Amino acid sequence: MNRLIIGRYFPGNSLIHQLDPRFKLIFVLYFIGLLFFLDHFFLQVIFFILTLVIMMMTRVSLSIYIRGVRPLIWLILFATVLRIITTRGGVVYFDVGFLTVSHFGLLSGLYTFLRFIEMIFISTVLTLTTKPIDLTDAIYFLLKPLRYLYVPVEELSLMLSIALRFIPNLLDETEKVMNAQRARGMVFGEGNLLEQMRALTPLVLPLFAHSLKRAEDMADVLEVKGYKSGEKRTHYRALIWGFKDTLGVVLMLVLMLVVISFNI
Amino acid sequence: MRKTVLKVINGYYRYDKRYDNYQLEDINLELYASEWISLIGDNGSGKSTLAKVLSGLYRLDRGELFLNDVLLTEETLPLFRKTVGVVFQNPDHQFIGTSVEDDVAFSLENQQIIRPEMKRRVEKALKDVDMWDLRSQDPTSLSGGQKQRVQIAGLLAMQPDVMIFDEAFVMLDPYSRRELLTLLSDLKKTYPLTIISITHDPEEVERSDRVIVMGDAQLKDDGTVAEIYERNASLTPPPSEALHRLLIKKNHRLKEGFMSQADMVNFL
Ligand SMILES: Nc1ncnc2c1ncn2[C@@H]1O[C@H](COP(=O)(O)OP(=O)(O)O)[C@@H](O)[C@H]1O
Ligand SMILES: [Mg+2]
Repeated sequence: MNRLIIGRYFPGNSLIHQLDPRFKLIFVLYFIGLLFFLDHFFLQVIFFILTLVIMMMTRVSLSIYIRGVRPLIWLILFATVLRIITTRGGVVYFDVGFLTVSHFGLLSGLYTFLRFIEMIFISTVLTLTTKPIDLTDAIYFLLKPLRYLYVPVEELSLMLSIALRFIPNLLDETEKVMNAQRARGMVFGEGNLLEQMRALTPLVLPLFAHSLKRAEDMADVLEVKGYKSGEKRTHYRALIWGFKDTLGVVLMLVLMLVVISFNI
Repeated sequence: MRKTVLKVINGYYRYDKRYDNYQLEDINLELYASEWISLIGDNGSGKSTLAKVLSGLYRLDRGELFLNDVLLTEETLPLFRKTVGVVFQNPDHQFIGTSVEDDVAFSLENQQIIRPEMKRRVEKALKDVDMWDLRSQDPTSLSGGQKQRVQIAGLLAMQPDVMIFDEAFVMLDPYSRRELLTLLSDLKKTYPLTIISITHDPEEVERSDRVIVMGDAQLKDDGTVAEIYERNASLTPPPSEALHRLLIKKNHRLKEGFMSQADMVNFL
């Protein structure tokens, strides 16, 4: 649990922390979109440096970001190698049977690698600097127009925020039940698949029972506190769009112009 | 004349509508403004069920429930939501917000209170329970006593007439429990609150104005602390009365009748 960096919030007070989560969410999606249009070496360099600068601005140590990449590193390397050997053109450096490494191949392998890394880094910037609940609010805001298509956006956002509340609880409980079962001589993560599944049953059942009890209590609480699905509510939390966020939008436009100018 | 807040007339409730086995039977009850009522009784006697009926969560199968002289119906239910607040036993199952202040604001959001008013009420409620400094904390990271303070703030923000506590203090250590009870006493001085507390703690019972005893789905007794302990010898009494009984048993010559803590101090 402690090793998982993706989705974790690191409290802080950097400029990036202060930005409106709506802006950050849009920016990250936009940035990832742009990564697919970087066919020029200079563009790659600009975006790589930009990613690094943004990461530095969060004041979260680089090692945290690198830990975020680690679980995916084999997938990234696999995609990169695949890209290298399937792209031809330019000077050929190496050619044995079906294995061909060309100049273009190396270049597009490098681009693929960078794109993956940058995608992970920039999404990690978002989750490291934004409280999950603020992210939920941002998602709610962006999905709001879907209300007109009868999508229950309000309910979805409450569900998401309650789920956020309970994930740490659930992890805690799993840990407790596992320890209790271990104390009774249970061994986890050994034997064949069937044996492992069998070992999990005494773990899952108490968790399940507990979750049911909690869901029941929760439903009572929602009701006595006057929550009624489908009914209008006001919102205590407010996201505040600032001048910095507007500046951020300007940066987005500039990036667009730069990418276009290299592509014509 | 005391003002009646909650009134049940010939109330019956059963969980399983297929059988004639009622978990609440022939309940007749009148609760007055600003009373502190302890609801006691064996496990399974129907205390929690009664609490859920009084809060409007469960609807009586027979009989009527009035809140400030208004009959509970589908139409008047929102009035119950605003006027009666409940805190259950396990605080971890009751937090909806990811921060203390969000959680306190939840019921206000449902009532569509506008934001400036919400801010004002949340701040007041959290200051009343002395939790304003911890407003942006994750409620699950708090101590047991602090968690229940947040729950109380959640009720206060609604500005209710009635607060129901269903064994809300049993999980606390004696010190935090006493602290919370003192807090409630203080709040009761400021606000016209009727408190109904389901409890097994004789010390808490001793603080209340009125005690109601349940057994087998029915109301068994109803009276002041002294009356209840005089009439029901099987109940575990508060420490002063326990000592009193012990002294009588040891042939000390003491007057009969319930002895409160103050009586005992006087006597000694
Ligand atoms: N959700 C439920 N479904 C069916 N029966 C229930 C439910 N909750 C409680 N009961 C039954 O109702 C009776 C009263 O329970 P309860 O009100 O919880 O008692 P108390 O709070 O005094 O311990 C018990 O016999 C209990 O088994
Ligand atoms: Mg109970």
